[in-house]
Amino acid sequence: MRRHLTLVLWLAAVALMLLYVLLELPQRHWNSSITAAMPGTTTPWQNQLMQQNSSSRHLSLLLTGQPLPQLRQAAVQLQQQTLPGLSWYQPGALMQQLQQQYQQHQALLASPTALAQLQSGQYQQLVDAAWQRLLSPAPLLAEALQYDPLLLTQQFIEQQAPVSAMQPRHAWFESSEPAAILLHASLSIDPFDRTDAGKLAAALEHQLQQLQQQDPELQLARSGVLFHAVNAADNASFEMQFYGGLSLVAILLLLGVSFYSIKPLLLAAVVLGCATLSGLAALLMLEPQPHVLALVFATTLIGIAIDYSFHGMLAANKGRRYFRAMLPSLALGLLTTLLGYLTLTVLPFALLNQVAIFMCAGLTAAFISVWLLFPYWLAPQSLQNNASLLHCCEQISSRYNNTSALKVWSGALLLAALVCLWLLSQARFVDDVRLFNQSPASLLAQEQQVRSLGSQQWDSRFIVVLADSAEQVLQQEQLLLPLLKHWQQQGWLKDWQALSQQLPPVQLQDQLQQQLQLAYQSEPVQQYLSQLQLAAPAPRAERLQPDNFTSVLLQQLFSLQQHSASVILLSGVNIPDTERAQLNSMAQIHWLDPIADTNQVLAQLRSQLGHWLLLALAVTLLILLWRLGIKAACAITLMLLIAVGGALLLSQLLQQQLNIFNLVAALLVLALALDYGVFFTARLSSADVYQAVLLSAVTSCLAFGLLSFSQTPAVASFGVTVFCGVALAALLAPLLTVVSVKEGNKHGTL
Amino acid sequence: MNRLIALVLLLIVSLPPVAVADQAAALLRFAPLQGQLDFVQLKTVQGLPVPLRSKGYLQISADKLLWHTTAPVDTQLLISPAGVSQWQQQQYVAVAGSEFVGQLLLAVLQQQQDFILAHFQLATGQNNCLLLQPVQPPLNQLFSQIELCGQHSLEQLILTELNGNHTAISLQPATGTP
Repeated sequence: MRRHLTLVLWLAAVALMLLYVLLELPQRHWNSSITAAMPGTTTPWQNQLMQQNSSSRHLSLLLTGQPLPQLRQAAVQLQQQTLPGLSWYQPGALMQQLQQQYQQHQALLASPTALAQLQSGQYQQLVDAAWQRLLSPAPLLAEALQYDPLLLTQQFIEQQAPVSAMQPRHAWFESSEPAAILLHASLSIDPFDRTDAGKLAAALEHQLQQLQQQDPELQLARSGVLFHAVNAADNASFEMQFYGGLSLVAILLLLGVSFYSIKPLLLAAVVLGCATLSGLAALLMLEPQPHVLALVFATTLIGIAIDYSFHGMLAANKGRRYFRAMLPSLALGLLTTLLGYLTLTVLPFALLNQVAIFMCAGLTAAFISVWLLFPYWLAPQSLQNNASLLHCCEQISSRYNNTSALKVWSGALLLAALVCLWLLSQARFVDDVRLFNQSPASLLAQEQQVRSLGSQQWDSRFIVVLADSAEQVLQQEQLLLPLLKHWQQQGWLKDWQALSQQLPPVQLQDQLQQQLQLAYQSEPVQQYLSQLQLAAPAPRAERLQPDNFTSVLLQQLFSLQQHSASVILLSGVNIPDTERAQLNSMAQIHWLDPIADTNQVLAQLRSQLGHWLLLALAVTLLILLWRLGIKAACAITLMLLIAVGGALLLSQLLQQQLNIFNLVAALLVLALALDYGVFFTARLSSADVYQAVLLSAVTSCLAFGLLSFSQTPAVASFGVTVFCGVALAALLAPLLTVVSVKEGNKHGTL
Repeated sequence: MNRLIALVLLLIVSLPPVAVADQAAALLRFAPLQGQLDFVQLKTVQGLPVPLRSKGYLQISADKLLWHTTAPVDTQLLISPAGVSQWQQQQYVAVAGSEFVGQLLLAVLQQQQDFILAHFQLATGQNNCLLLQPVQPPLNQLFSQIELCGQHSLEQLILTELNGNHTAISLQPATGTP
């Protein structure tokens, strides 16, 4: 009765989870941003700013390879087909709109040179410049002379637009030498949202392919976060399915070879299914926008959860008593693995938190499934062990057992010392978030091609001006101008883009109005006005402000909870640290370098993880001392030291550097290797332990080893270290029987 | 037979645009201007009670044009396909966004057929003048019409802006060295 109730409860739990996942999964949006997966900045306003920042919601397409008329035709065709979530910029229309706004506010805007001349009373220079502009055959703004006889706003506009190889046209930028058209678009969807971004990118790609089919000579270059994010998400999705599928097939084959029966396959499939379902349900329950990379890491669940199935099958096959004897070791193994993953949940590292949630829930479900189902579904002696495999395990066991304890102790001590010393001398950690994700070379080349022709090549570093109001922000930007100009003159800064370049603060507009009234009274200007038979205009009452101003640059102005902030974009940044330090003395100016900040947090986390690894080793030693005695504890700790140290050392030698993911992997190696240690020092039959650990190690090596081929460097690093660690642990763990357990004491089973 | 029909159809389809293009090209009868020319510019600007009169000379070469105003004040402009540059403090400073104005002036003075036919609709006006109506941005956002007048060579051009301003530039062979 109790047995049935347990099974019903288990089934109900599985059904509930399945229902929850089926309901939630289609609605959930998956994130593919590598930066979102990394540790973030800690200042609240910085987080708000980064969330509001829409710099990733743009894309550019460069059309080349054909004469301009054909390129224009292709561009028109592309823009005629509307795509939901994407709107094409119309640079010509935007510039015209900007010009119209300036035209309605003439005499409120002047270039910095004209302002300086006004302030210093150099009125003749202003008059000369006005004459020159007036006599030019180039068109003038409407009503220019009525409101702004010195044509200061006219000249302000003419100093605004960047002079570059690409000229703005109504709906795109184009250049004749070489013939090229550059299209810019903005996105209303989040490019890191797997679902929306995937749909948009696919639809756009379809249009581009159609264009290229019509005109094979047409060359297209893409630029924008969307392309990289979708590529990364597709890659992660493919890897998750490919590596996960491959692991599963290999594991099921291994089971088939081991037991010559379909029943173990079904049992293993049930355990793996439950584990995956629980992991997914927990992730969906606790994370509003899970990361696709978390699922790639989570494919390793298969490799660990299947271990529980092996141990459970072998023990259940021997009978209930043997199964009960095996359970404490399995529970201890689960506990150590869970502890390893739980440590990751306290880190401020979104990706690792999600992996930990998935794995903890998945492994617990796998353990519970083995515990509840196997004794009832697998009758004793119902499985036939593969005789060859068993023989092989016995052979290995006897080989290991023939080694003398003294040799093992001295060899292990020497190896541990060598590994630790070599690792300390060789280890070189690189905490650069950019190395964790790699876009395909062709996409990077296209990005470079677009950037080399387009004018917008802003650095990832920028300056933030933080103040109580938008007006104060614009005033602060103005104060910063001399320093930016100085850096530009010194060649430390190529260019910058700030809102105050298009929209001066009201304070400056007031000042200009006052200065102009003084100028109109001066002799040179009076003479100029009389030559033109014009009267001096009255001061203007209206002002140009963010509320009545429309421009793309307004996207650089942010309204935070208690502040207003503006971003000053920079290009060609090579500012010495001593110079940049000047910004620190300006209270409301902040230098932001998201990549460097993330790298710094990564470095801190990595150092923290290193300490945790040592702490985990020390705690393990204490627990083992308490449970197994000094000999077994020291032996297991030595094995752990060699496995973890060796894994890191091999990773360093293979990758030429280490990163935080190698350390995360080292924590997992510690947990897995401890499992093997616990089983080999338990009073269990050698051949059974060999068989179970051999199968476990092979499956873990498969699951993690495959990850080392991942296109995502972060995932590959993780896979390499766990693979090396598990392989080393599996090779060394059998020696524990030699040094800690006497053969006569082995009377149990798994 | 089929080939003959196809040929006839091809001729029918291709003749009209060719004919139209030829007709338009035929209207461009002025000889390209080169070397030095004197000019008188009369600029009528909204809000200015009287037109603004200026004079000076132009130095036209293959890919650029020096626009030297000598009266009422001495100013210099360098006009090229890259745009208009003003002579300020011993150097030419580019005026951003003036690329099309530069290309337009060079094309009109040098009678560049390709540019004119691509950007304007051509018609014959009064007094032996040729009317150029811009057909695409940004020229049609700046000018409503450009009038080219003269007997054999271009003697006057009138730029009419959308905002009502207009500039009449009269050209004549240079009378002496500047």
